[in-house]
Amino acid sequence: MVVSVAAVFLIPGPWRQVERVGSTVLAPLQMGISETLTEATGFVDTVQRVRTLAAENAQFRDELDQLQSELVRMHEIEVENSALRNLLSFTERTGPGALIPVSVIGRDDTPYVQAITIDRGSGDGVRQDAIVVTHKGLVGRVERVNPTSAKVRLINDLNSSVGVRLQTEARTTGVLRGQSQGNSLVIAYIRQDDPVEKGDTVLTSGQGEIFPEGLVVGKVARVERKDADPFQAAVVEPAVAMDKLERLYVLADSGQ
Amino acid sequence: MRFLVAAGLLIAAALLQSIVGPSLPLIGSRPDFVLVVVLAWAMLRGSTEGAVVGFLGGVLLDSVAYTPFGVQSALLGLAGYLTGLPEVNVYRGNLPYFFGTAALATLAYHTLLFLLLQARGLGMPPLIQTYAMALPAALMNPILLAPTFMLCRRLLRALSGWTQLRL
Repeated sequence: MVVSVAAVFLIPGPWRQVERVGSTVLAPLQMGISETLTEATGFVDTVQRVRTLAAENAQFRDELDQLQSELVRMHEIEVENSALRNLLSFTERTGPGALIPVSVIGRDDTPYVQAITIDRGSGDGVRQDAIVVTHKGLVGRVERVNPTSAKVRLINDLNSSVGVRLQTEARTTGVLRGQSQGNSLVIAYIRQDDPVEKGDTVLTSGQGEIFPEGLVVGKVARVERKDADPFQAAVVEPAVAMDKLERLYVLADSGQ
Repeated sequence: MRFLVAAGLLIAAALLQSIVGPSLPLIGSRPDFVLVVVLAWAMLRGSTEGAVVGFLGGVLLDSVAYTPFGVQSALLGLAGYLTGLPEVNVYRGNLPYFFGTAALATLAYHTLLFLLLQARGLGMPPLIQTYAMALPAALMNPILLAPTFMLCRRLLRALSGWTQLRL
């Protein structure tokens, strides 16, 4: 026991090897059970929904009509979006191999840790500090890589920090931190005279050299301002629901 | 052979804790499946086997969890050792002692986990949030311990019978 405790604090190197072996052995089991559970949940869900399918079908027909009209409008937005991306020198990541699709096979969801395990590791090109996203925005970064799996610290983890800026003319910057519970994030230490409004879009600032610039993080949900304080804080609603992560992507050219 | 059985139970518990556990937020918390197996084994087999099984369970949990490697091994090894210290007969037919030990072990485990992680320099939430998770777990773990204890006892008896048959 004493040796174990001493090893934890003094010689982390050998432990890393043991963890690597343990993860390699357990990851396939995690994958198998996780996939089976997903399939089973999907099947049960379908059976439960048989009664409502007819009503939903009619509803979807109405929605289809509406969506077709919106499609035209979306095309215009896409053109505008493309122009804005060029303005921001935003790298288009649509080339083959730019994104590594990954699935969540495990999750740590405690007040101390908000992290997930994904089903791809160093053998698949996932690197330390690689960025994990969904089509909606930033999820976290890879902190430990094993041959067949990797552990990702989510941005809502208490010990996570991301350099961010607001998508406003003032380009207010700050450091986004996770909170121990719940899905919200906080940008602390924003100067009182920096403009922050509810609904402002929060993007990564590129400071800190881990997270690339311009990834969507979320929107400002609330501003906490006290006259006596030299700083204000912004509570951010993440673009990605951290408690419902399934299909994610690792940015292949990120990390080291 | 006994340790292979324990390893099987621990692997199942570790996987359950990493996959199913967080998806089933009972009372805003989740049972500590690996801790429950370690407690059951320690109650049945004493402190030495309790410590070994606890350490093994910790290694497995460290492999699938995100906390710094070794923390769970040390904590669960200690939990197994201390739970196994009293005579095995103490737990038989003494339900308050049985459930009380499980609840106390759960609270001690979560408190020490908090302190160890803080000692490792991790930013931690207020201790009150730890207990918001630990208290429901201290209710669920003893409930889960009863069937786990019976399962372990049955497996050990079957194993013992099988070994005698071979001899």
